Amino acid sequence: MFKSGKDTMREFPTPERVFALCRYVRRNPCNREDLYQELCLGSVFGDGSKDIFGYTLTVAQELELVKEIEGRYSVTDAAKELEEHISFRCYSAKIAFSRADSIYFKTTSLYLKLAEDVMKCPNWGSVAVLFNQNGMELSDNDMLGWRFWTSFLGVGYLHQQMLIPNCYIRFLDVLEIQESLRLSESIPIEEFMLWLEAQCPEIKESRDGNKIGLAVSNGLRTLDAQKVIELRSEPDAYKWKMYKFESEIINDLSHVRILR
Amino acid sequence: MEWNSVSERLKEIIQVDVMVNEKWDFMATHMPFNRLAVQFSGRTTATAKEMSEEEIYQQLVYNPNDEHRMIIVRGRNGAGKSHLIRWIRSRLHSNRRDETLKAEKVVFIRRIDNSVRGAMRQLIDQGVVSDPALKERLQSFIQSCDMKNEGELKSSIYYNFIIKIENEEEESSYKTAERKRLASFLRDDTIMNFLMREDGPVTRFYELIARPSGRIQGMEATFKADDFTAMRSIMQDIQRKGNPNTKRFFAEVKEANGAAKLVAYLNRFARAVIQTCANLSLGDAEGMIHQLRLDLKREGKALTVLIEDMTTFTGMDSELIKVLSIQHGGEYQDLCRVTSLIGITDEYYSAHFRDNFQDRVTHQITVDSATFESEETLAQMAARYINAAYLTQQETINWYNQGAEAAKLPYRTWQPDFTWESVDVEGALFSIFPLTKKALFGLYNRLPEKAPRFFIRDVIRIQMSAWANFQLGNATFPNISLSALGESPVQFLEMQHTARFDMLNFSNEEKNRLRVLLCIWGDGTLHEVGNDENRVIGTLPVKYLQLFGFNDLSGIQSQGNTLHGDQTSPRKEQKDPQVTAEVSERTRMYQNDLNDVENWYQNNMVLANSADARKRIYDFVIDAINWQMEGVPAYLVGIRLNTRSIFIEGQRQRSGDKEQALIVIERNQEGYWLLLALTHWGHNNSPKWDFKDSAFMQYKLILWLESHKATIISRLKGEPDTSPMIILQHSMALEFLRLGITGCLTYTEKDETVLKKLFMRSVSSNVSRNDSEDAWGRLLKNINQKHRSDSLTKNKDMLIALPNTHMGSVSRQGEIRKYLYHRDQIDDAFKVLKRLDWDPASLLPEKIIEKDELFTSAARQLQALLPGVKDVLVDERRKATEMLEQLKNELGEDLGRDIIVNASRKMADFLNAFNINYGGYYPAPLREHVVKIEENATLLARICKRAADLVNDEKFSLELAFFSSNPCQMMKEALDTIREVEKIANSAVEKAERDLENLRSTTTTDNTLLDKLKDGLIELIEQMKKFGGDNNA
Repeated sequence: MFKSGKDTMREFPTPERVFALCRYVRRNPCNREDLYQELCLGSVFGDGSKDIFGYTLTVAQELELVKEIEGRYSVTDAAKELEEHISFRCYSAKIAFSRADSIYFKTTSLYLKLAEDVMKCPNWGSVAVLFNQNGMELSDNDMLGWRFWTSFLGVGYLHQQMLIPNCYIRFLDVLEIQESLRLSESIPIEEFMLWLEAQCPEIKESRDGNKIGLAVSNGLRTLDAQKVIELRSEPDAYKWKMYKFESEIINDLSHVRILR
Repeated sequence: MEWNSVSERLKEIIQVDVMVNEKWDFMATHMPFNRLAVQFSGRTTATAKEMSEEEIYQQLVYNPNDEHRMIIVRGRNGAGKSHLIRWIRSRLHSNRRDETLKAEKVVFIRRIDNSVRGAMRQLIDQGVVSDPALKERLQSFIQSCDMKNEGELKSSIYYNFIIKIENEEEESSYKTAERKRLASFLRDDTIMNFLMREDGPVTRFYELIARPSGRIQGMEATFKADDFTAMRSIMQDIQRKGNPNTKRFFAEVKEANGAAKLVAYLNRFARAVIQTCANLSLGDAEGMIHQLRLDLKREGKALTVLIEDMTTFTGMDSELIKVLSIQHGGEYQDLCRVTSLIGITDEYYSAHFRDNFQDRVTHQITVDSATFESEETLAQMAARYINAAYLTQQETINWYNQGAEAAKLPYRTWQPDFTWESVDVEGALFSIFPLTKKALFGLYNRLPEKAPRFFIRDVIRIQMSAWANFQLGNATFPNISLSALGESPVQFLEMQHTARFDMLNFSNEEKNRLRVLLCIWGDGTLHEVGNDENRVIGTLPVKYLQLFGFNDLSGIQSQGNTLHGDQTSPRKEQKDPQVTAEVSERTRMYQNDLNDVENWYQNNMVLANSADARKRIYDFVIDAINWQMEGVPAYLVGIRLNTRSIFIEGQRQRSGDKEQALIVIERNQEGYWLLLALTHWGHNNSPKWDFKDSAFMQYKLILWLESHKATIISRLKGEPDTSPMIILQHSMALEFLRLGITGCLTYTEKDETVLKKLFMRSVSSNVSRNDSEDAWGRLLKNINQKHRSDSLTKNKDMLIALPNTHMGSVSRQGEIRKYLYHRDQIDDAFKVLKRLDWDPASLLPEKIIEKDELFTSAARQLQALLPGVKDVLVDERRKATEMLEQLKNELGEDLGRDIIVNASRKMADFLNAFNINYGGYYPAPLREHVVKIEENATLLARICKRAADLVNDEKFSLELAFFSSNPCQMMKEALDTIREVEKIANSAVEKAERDLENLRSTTTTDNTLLDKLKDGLIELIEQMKKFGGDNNA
């Protein structure tokens, strides 16, 4: 799912399962069989869930939350990120989007770039076709696995057969933990966006020059509406263009102010 | 401008209930009919020719050749029939110096008060009635109408119907006996009150005969089937109070067929009743006109009769038509020529002009309101009225007196300091300020009945009055009341413009008016063009908007190339002819749903299509929130969240529903956008986010979600009363109790096996409880009752599912086949319960849970079950204590295994000796029971020890597990066996002692044998006493 290079994105290792596995290992380091027996209540339900267990353990290792030494599984130094869902999400996003050559990163980046075209697709199969026309080699199953993580990591919102593009949660997470940008000060848009792209490298491809993509625009607008940031358009200042909405007074951004 | 005068003039030129105004105002506002369909026959199928009003006057009304004419002016209610007839009257008047017309008697019956009384007054006033006796009778009726109150006349009408029914001599659709029942039915007080109510059929007759009415102009006075089928509403009263006749007749006429039969029967008497009530006799109307025609012929004159509305002559209409249709000449050469123009609705014509009557009609003129329905024509009509309102009455009179030439009509206006729309009126430009052509057209199309009369009354008068009152400082402009705008919502063309509009800083009242101006007066957008003083928003000059208080308004400026994110150009859809009808139906439903949302938001109406709305909200929320990663188990969401748990403000839901709901949609901007976005999304053939403004709608949708997500999640978790972890604890505790009560726990249970049993689908038990009458047995019986058993099964399902992980939409959860648990949660819950020794009392809320819901179900069952379980354990402990004491009495203080084995063996030896040595008898199973005591000695000794321990140390989980296996049963069986052996031994002693006594008292020669017997009995007694008597074991 998240490893560099060629890979698949199976649907079984959902974020919830990875979280559940890691939380158990944190308290109970053990060998693989014991881990399966305890996590899947093998003594009650038998061996029917070995496949989902196996994939889940793999993704937990890919996310560098669980390590295996001589057949014994334990958590890594990142164990503190398992305290709650949000820290797990922030940490997972950081690792998942740190490998630009992973299939997950490339798919997400392409989704953000083609968000408007994706909306025209009636189902995930046709999204796979669209992505494959743009250089990917994805199966329908890959799309199923990808969407669970992408909606969890805050890049979009699942809705029936589609993922509504909006990076609000993703941006909220990086803003919550950031310390480099000043609060309440007007930050020039270029500085802010370059910082944001450094934190969220998957959004880079969705930008066309100074034109910000749909998911990023809607994420910023949602942050503004939720009073997390304030979008500003100051006269005579250098501006970046958001995805245009006639309803909005601000479509061209010159500054961003972080409110909280 | 004298605004008070303008306000008054509006009232004069446009009267609310009846379209009567002065002739000069009439002419000043008259809109020429240029395209009237004229048929030269009474047949509705005859070919029509288009003629202007002037051509009709010249060729049909002006009648120098003395040709007989009976001209029907047909059209819908409000289409302008009266207006045309009135114009012809004015045209005749303006041409009065013409020689032909000098010899013409013109009788003009207007629809002044739309009643028979009004028609009669006009006939008298215009000298039509020459017979003194008839004149006196008519005057008497008019006076009586003035004097009688409404109730009297209505009663008179009602009883006249009954009289007609009772006195009918012919056999008709009702036989004599049925007519009697009908009369009795009509005399019933409840029926009478119902039929004579304010909006009932008798009131219609009353209004036609006597009462001026603006509400039901042109409506015929007849009974309708609905008048009787609607009686279902009084069914209970009839059933309670009605006599058998009434009930019988009621049962018939409340059904459609019975009602139709009765209506047809009653309407046969309608005209006769009206005649009676109007003091008319058969032949009066005919005689009156006949005499007039005779008189005029003698004077060398002809007759022109203009009747605006024939319904005002109900009761004598047939006679009138008949006498007016008689052509002069031949056998009627003593009658003058008559030209009649009679206004009739289409419905009246088709109902009352049968074949023979149609033959008498020479021409039909159809006044079609559609001829006025163009934007330009409506604007011209409005311009005339606006101008007339600004003119003083004297100016209009002067113009009228000078020949009322259209081209010479004076022009007055109120000119703003910016350009405004004007229209051509007879070659001159008339301003329509403060209205626009689009506003006039839009408001016309919002009328419930689209006809010129209602346009003039409900659009021009209402808005111009608002304008005058605005100038006087008494009102705001425009008038946005329901009567002014109708019920259709006022919508912007572009959704994003609606959103921008919502952000404007005006009060709600101001916004409502501004929305009307922008959407009905303007082009329905906020597009802004031009600079400074020439700025225009939505095609309306900014100065115009400022005039009504809308200052500091800015619109949406076009920014040239808007390729990036520009979704303003509608996508072209490929049309497949085969699906056109389907698409059209879908589009209609789509628009209905959009209007529904607008009306819900703007007009506080109920959301008619709330079921669809709830489904769409559910489909969105269920997927868009990452439930499990927000700490809400998928199982909880799947069961708890459904369309019924969504509350939409303003629906017909109970007030308590809002507090109980998991999702609350409030009637505010956020709720509005949510509903609108999902309505747009849901109306694609296969719903997808591929429609105009979809990206914007998505943004609004997410905005709503993020504003409400925390509340929804908290409610779903059951906070603040509970949480998923507490639910898990309750569920686990309840299953533990169930396992204990059903004998599935053992005293030596390890944590691993307890956990396994908690999650196993079924756990078997070897314990049987035969005594269903003891406390435990009753408890078992109780939980085996179906509803309790089902609840416990559901709890088990929940326990298995709640901490499990789930893949995919939480709306799709079938049977669980894959397991990967939040094992840390299971362990946490287990630890908590173990720490509490599995007694969950301290985890339960103090307040009794009344409602059975998933998230409180386990707690509720625990509240019900736990006290009973504790009582049962007390009972078991008491029983165990007693058994223990009794066993000690039998076997001594030490109830160890060896003691028990020893006792068992001694009992066996005794039974053996008793049988073999002394020939004693005992039941066969007793020996087996004795042997079984030795076999179970280890277990029995352990049970006795644990029972002794538990009596001294009350531990809930150990007690439940211990008594779960029914240990008292084994103790009791052992005790019973020991006592039975004792009993046998004691009986044997008694018998032996009696035998010994007898032996001693017997005299015998063989003392040796006697002594031997004596010794044997003494030994037996000693042996038996070892087992019988008190504490001999």
